Amino acid sequence: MTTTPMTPENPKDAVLEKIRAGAVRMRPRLYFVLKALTVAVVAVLVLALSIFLASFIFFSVRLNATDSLLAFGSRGFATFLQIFPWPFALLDLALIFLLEWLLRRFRFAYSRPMLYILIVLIAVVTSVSLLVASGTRFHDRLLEHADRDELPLPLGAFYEGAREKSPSDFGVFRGEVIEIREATFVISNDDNDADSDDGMWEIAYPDGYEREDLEVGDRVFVAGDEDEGAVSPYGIKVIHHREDEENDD
Amino acid sequence: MQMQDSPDEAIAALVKQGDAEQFGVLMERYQGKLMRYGRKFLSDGEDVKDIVQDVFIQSYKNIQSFDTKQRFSPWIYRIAHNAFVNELRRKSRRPFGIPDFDTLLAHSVYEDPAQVERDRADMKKLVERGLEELRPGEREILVLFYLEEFSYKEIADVLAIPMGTVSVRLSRAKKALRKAYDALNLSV
Repeated sequence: MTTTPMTPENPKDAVLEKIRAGAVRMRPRLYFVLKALTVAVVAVLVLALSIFLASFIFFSVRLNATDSLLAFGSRGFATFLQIFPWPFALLDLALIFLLEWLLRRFRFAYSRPMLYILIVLIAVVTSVSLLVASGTRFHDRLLEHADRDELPLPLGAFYEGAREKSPSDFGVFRGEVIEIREATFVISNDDNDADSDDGMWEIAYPDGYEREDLEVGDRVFVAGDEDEGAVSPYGIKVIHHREDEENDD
Repeated sequence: MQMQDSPDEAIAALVKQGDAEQFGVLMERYQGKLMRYGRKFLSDGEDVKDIVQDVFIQSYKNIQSFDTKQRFSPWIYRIAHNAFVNELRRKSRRPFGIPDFDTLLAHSVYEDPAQVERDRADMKKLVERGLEELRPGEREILVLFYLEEFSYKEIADVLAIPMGTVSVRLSRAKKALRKAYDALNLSV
């Protein structure tokens, strides 16, 4: 005959019995210290990754001069939104949500409205990222390393994708001025690769454009409507003067 | 050592130092309260005893994370809240309290002590009579405020939400309770 062990009906007695028998033991204080430290370290890593990604977006926009579109009026702004690297931005937003979720286990976070924490996180990530992308050469150096194949594969491939081809499908053209004519000027199609067969675009001067601003050798950013290689622009911006380049050298 | 009149936090400090028997005093104090909390929250007496037992086990295991400078009751109710929410999730297969739009924005908090006292006496009777018509989240906040007599801040710590959200949820739960009583033609 088998006997079933008597278990107390009362939760208090049942738990005390388990504690006395050693079946339930308290976790050491170190366990909670390590747990809090782990969450803090993971949160810092997620924050760092988020800042890295956001600053990479700003760097990529600067590298490809797509921020020039913001000076081209409402049409330029709409085009900017179309070619903005949204997948990276959405991934970054997901990281910020993950960070918010990690922080919510601490009183300073859960005692405040979620939207406040999110706004603060977005503001911190954006401002630090802008500082990294514009005030330091962090990404430029990594890009130089990537160009020399000195970065490990995932990071190397990531930076190789930083230079985008001119998004001509969206009416955006980038290149070097190779000829200046009476009513137009010609630019090479800068698709950020080493090929020499990239073609060229003939750009008409927009009304009121100061031609004296332009010289052969300047790198320009143009937005407009293209028809068989001829572009009627609504915005032109010199992104690098040849003189500056010579001075840099 | 006679600990019956000592505050919970002093007893918890002894438990942390290794006096496991003192945990029995804490369980004695909270067993009835947590059973009542669970019955009102879950509306099902069957599982409550097992869950309360599990709450005590989790509390003992995690007692070293309790800061004895804080109040013990919100801490153990927080563990109980998580256990009851998990039980609700298990039963309904629906996430409880997600998405939690109440916690998104700031809400103003206003506690008039005189009004709270008058209100508490009336509402306590209603809450004791039954909450079956209400949603679990509404039942829970009413129980915490009117039966357990927690402050907004303590409820905020139990539910891990901002104090403004406590105020909004409590007001909404009171309205729901009055509506439920009206629908049943019971006097409020």
